[in-house]
Amino acid sequence: MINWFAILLVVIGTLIGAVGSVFMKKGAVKFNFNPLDQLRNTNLQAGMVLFFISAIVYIYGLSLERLSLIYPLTSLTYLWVAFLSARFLGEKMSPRKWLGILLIVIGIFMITYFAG
Amino acid sequence: MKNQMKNQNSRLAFLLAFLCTLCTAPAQFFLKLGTTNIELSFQGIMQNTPLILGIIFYTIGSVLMIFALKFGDLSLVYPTISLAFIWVALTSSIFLKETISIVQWIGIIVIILGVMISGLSIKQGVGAKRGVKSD
Repeated sequence: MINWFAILLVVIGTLIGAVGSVFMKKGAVKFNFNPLDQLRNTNLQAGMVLFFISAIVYIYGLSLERLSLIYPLTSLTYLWVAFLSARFLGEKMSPRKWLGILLIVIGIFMITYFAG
Repeated sequence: MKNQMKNQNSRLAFLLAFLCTLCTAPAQFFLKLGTTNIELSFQGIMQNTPLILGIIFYTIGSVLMIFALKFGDLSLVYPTISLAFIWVALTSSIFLKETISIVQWIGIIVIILGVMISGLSIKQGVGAKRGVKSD
């Protein structure tokens, strides 16, 4: 019996985390070690908040279903990030990069699902 | 010349992202240790060395990632972060005596390939300089 609600939560959690990464990237450009500057770095702050929310959603989903099913789903984040960075950060995706992402997703699935 | 700058920055971004994974992997390990049978009191947490170490490593890793993002594309930095999965699998096998199955070993190789291919795009800058259309 698979708890599909848990699966849905984790999928949403990874998406939120990926969106957070996009904000982190925008905020990173203006990052320095001056706290006063960073107080105005709304992108960075938004990124951190989204990371935090995605962690909560993920942990909640994890509490409802087995780790062996949930952990492989974290590989989805890499897919989301690829799409989002092309769409919202203007980063050039190439067939080569997509192949790399696909391999990473497959590789993560292999490591996490087939845990000895 | 602008492409050369971007290449150097991308290499730095890759290095920083790589260092980041060297922090987030032990962070996950320590956090796992620290949150099993966690004592939820102020004193309990203050004395929870693994938890504190985990948080410290995670913070350092996050700063490294932010710096990596300062110098490189998200689509370069983020795939590199996936290397942490490999470190976690390896350290779990060494320190927690978990066996790594054959499929997992293949998965490790597949991830490394994926990261290398994602990072290979760095060299596209050189091609573009000579007027060769990069894919």
